[in-house]
Amino acid sequence: MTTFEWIQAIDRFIFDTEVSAQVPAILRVSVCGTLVANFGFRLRDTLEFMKPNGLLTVDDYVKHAGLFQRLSVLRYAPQHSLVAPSILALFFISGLFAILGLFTQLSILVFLVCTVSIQSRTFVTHFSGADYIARSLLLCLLFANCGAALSMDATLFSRSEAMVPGWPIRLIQIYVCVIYLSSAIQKCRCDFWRSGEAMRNVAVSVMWSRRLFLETLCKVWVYKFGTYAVVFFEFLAPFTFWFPELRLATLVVAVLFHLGVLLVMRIGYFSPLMIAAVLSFAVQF
Amino acid sequence: MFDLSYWFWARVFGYSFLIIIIFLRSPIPNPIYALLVQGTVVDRLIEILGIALDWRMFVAIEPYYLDVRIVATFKSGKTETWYLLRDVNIGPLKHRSTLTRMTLACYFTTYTFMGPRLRYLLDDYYAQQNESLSSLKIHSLVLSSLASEESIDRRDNPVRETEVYSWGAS
Repeated sequence: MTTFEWIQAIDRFIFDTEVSAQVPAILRVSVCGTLVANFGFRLRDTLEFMKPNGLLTVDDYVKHAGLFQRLSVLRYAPQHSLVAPSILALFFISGLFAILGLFTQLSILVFLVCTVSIQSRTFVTHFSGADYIARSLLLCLLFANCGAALSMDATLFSRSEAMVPGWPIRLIQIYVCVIYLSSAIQKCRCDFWRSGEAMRNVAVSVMWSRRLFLETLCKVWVYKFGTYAVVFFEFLAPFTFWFPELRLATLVVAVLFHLGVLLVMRIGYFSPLMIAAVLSFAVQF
Repeated sequence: MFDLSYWFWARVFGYSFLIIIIFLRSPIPNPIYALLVQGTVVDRLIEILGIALDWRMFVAIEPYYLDVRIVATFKSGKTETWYLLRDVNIGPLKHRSTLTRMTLACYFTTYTFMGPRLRYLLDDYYAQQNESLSSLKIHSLVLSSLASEESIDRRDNPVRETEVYSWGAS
């Protein structure tokens, strides 16, 4: 194959695809639902950071955000005590509309703007991988026709469609694979992953561990096996996802893996979000 | 009907997104990002939307970064005792849950070289918001080199320090 033919093949693989309208709809519900639930749990902390005289004042935010001075409506809004709760309320309302699929694309757009605004404003606490992934997934969903199925738009306004363009879902699939592969490469660069002790470090960490199954996780064979299994899975999954015969098995292992992480570690909403993202593979193009 | 506009913008977004997620800040060498994206409008959009994921975050479990702790200092006469903030049992601290979360945030901030910024935020906060806490200063961030039961259970002189950021009154 010539270079041009390769480029054409890649272009067809990404863009000349259609998926069942239910796929972006399921992703819409799972991603937006995860974000809404996460902010619901963190509401008090978020407000504590965002209010004008809170832990992170607007002046402090502007002064210290530096490189991370991303777009935030809150930066330009008047410094009134009602502004932060209003943005949060708009976040929850647009999130609810997005989950229900009412004015779907507009809701997702408003939801994305609110998410970016809140996370940028509270950059001290919203600086995790999950936050980056959430924003990226929402951005992709903005281009997907998410409201063509399982939505009020489809029911009330007869906007139901059987098939929709699949390229935003394809981008999410590639994104998931890049996440796994990149983290596997990074882990292989670290001594404690190569020596097989990472799982034990997690188990005893005051910061990350839920202190569950501590004795079991501290057994040498358990933590060594667990550590290597994680790296092995992260190396393998980006490839096995693309084989139809292996896709379901990989999907099941991925979901179990993230449920396991959720059970053992305190890493916020990363696991639910990744489960939502790998659901993009539950589709036959 | 073939929609040229949709065809075009789908590819502009799609390929930009792919270049960003594959090449920007990834462990894979990124000449394509440097050539095609850096300094452009797309680069600005990445910054605004905050989608440039730093892949190093997924390593997470390095002992050196595990035990990032905010340590509080109490003075009683000439003696000075250090406590892990999460274990400090004091009434006037109104935002204990938030600060516990900030302990978690320290991981990210320190890891991405934002530690000093957090330091100013904490200092400002205690200076402005809570006079009753004048005897309590966030003293240092201790990055321990060892994550173990032994290091976790030690309340004073915590662990083998490899780096300490200190500030405030001591």
